[in-house]
Amino acid sequence: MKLSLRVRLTAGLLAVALVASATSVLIGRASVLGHFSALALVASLVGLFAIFVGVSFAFATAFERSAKRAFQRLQVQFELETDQLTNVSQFNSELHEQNAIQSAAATETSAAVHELQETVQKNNETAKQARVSSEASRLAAENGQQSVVNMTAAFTQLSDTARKLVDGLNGSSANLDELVALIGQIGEKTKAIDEIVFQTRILSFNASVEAARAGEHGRGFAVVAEEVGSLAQMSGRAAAEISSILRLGVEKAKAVSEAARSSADRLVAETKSSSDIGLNRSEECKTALTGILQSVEQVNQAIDTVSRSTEEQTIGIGEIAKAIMQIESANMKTAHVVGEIESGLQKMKSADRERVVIVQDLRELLLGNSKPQSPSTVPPVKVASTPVAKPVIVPMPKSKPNPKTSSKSAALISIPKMERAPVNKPKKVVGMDYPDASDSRFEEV
Amino acid sequence: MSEIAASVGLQDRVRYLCFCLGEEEFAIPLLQVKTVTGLPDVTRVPNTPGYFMGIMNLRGQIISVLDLRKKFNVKPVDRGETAVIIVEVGSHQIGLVVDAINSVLSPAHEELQPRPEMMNGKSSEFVTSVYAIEKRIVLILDVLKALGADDKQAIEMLGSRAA
Repeated sequence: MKLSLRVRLTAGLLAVALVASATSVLIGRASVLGHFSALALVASLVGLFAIFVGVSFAFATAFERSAKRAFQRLQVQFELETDQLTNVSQFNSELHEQNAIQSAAATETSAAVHELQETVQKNNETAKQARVSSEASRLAAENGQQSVVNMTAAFTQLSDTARKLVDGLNGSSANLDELVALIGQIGEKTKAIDEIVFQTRILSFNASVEAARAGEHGRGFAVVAEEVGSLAQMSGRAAAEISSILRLGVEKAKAVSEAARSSADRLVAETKSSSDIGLNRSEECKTALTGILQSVEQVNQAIDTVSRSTEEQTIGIGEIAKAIMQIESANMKTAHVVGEIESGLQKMKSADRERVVIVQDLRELLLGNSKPQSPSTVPPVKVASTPVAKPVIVPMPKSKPNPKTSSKSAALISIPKMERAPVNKPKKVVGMDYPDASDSRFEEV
Repeated sequence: MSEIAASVGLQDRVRYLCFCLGEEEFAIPLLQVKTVTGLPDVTRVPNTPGYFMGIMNLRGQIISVLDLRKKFNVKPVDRGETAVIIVEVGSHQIGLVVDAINSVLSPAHEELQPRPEMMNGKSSEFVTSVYAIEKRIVLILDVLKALGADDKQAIEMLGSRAA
């Protein structure tokens, strides 16, 4: 490994100073012995100058090394910043995407809430209609109940009427019975007539017998006796006819009475059973209608509950809609902020690029064009092992770092680089460009 | 009066007392009849034939009563006119129970017809002739023949007991 020119120069200068010093010392001793003080003074001045130049050179070399290290750190810092910037940019774009998703979701939610609002409104209307229907049902059921009450009263009245009718029939039946009894009495009387007729006929036969025994004298009497007999017989027949007529009357009266009684009984039974059935039906109707009314009441309560729930839902949905509107406006603000961040990032990136150029310029100003002409002139860089692009510093052709000339040369040399850099990587973020191994910017270490 | 005059024209005719046994009509000569009466209380006499009804008290006189319906095996029909015809048999009077006494008949001689041939025989000897009036038929009986010998004996025994 060859020593750098500057080191060699410094070493030479130090050697010269050492020689001058030794010479001056020797001359000083000689002056003490002789008179070589002028020569010793010159030698001392030369030695001092050599020392000054050597020290200056050494100081310059040390400064250059420090500056290089500082630039290297600055470069590393830039790279880190660039990475951070890239990360932030990525996060920002992710934030943008998430914001877009959130926005879309908020829009969808808003639409859904709108639909929900309509549905709830419909529910509310349906509940109102149901209430009207339920009210109609209740009125109908109440009317039905009133009708049932009327019907029950009608059945009771019917029962009463039937009872009165039966009482009337029983009364007429009793009258008929009296009539029958009367006819029976007449029949008894006709029996007496029959007895009398019988006795009369017996008498007439006896008279005929007596007349026959009387012979000639009894002939006239016999005729009379037979006449009496035939009259009695006629009376008997008439009595028998009366008797049969009476019997017929009695039979008819009894039949009528019996028929009236049985039909009355039947009427009573039928009316009672019909009335009972009707009353039972009425009772069933009443129970059913009461059940219907209870159900209607329950339906009404349910409808009220639904209505209240719907109102609460409406309020809740309104709040949701408000919240969604707030979310949407927040999203818009977020989007705006994201845009702002993006433009800020862009500015920062361009600023970053500008800064790199400035640093490069500064470096070139301070250290000269550090483009490696000889590898020994470039100090080892720790981060150079990683393929990170770093501004190429072209080393100055001069061995001495002259601020003026170095800045000029750096400016002159760096101009084509400045123009080339945006052409090569215009869209890339600073620090993200990984150059090829053949890239001329790579330093050989 | 005209009827009385007409009956005068019938004075030579024999009179019969017509009565009913069941549905059938019978007649006996009026002169054989002593008297007629309604059915009185009859005292039953033990150990006598079934048609012998018992004895009755007619104005203090004990009279045997025969049920002619049972005697002739006729089903009785009660019309409420059951009567007793008291006839003289020899020296005794007997009562004959009939369902009803109808009338006194005086048929013309030619109106009486002899009993039909098929009725000839011991059992129907007591039917002397048949009298047809319009659609009715009346059997004319001989009471003495109608009553059997044992009946007469019983009647006489009863009569002697009563005497």
